[in-house]
Amino acid sequence: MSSSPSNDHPGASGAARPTRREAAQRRRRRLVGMLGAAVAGAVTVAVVLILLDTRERDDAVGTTVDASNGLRAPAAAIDGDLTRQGRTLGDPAAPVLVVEYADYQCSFCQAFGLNGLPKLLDDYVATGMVRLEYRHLVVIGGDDPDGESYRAAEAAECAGDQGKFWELHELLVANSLGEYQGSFTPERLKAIAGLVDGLDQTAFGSCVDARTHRAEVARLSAEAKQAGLRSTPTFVVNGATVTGGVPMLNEAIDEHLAGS
Amino acid sequence: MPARSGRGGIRVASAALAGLGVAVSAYLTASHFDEGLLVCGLSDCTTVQASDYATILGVPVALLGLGMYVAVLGLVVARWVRPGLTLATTAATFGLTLAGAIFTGYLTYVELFVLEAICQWCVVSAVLTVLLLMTEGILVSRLLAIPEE
Repeated sequence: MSSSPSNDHPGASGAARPTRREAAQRRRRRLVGMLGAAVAGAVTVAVVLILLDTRERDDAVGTTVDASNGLRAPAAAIDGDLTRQGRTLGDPAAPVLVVEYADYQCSFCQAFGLNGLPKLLDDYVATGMVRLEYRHLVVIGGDDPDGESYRAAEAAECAGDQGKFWELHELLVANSLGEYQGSFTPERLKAIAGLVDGLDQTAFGSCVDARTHRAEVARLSAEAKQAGLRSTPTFVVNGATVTGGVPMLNEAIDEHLAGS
Repeated sequence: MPARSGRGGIRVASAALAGLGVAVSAYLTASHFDEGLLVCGLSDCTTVQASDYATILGVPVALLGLGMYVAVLGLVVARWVRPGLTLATTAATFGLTLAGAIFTGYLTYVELFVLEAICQWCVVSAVLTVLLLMTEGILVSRLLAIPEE
């Protein structure tokens, strides 16, 4: 049998009795010191990881460009050289059509718009392999025709009337504050649109106030729901619905490209 | 003797939990790179695994979890074979599992309130981390106890 450390088993002599308790107390003090360091290290590591994670997201949202309204520009703006036709981006002759169904209040749509979309555009749209179409699918406050998601979608269409759909779209994505947070009140929509170069603000404001595209947004959303789409963002690649995130989308695109 | 055997049971539980954690996080790490491996009947793992929250600075969160579980398993084994290092290994294990539990809490918040999608394997990993923190907490409290005269 191996011998134990003398601190743990000091022996049975009477003189050793107080030593055992003292040894336990010393051991306790050592453990408390180690635990203090371990807990401080643990909290530091966890907080640093969380801060890194949130910082990464803030960087993707971009820099503040209108502090009075708390508005930000996207970190990765859509390439101005891409062909833009209404709600589509890219070469009309591209072999693969990707349709993104999304809601401007949806946080996962925002995450895709800020992080996934720039890579999709670089890898597939700029290379002429994919044409991207954006369609409105209002799922947040979908029963409220005056809700923020409808308002934002209508505003994007109003900008589209002036050939500026994507210019406003990327700003709407970057400036969504979450669900029901007042991101897309008429006043804030006009402030966001104020960041779009060359947009006729008066015409845009009239379009937003008159709710010119209310019926169109409702129709697009209803069509998507009739097609069985319930969540956002949903991607349809050459007519086939893709479930899952960006990796599944890329996989589906690659399969269609391989077969084309 | 009863206290020692009770401590032994807790140590076995810690080792088992860390081993399970290694298995679950290794599976999640593998499925991060190959989504075809992901089997998820009860929840929406794909949304969570494919989300931007699944990586930090390009490193898969599942890989961070795997690193934590492997380190915990290594410390638990070291505590077993080198009893003289019990204080240091127990403090380090407690710190690691505490960091894991805090970060797991953040990730669970993201799943519930940001992504609004739950990944069942991530929940399993979160439960394992919390159970590990509990077993290590029990060991720490026993080590802190001073024997009666």
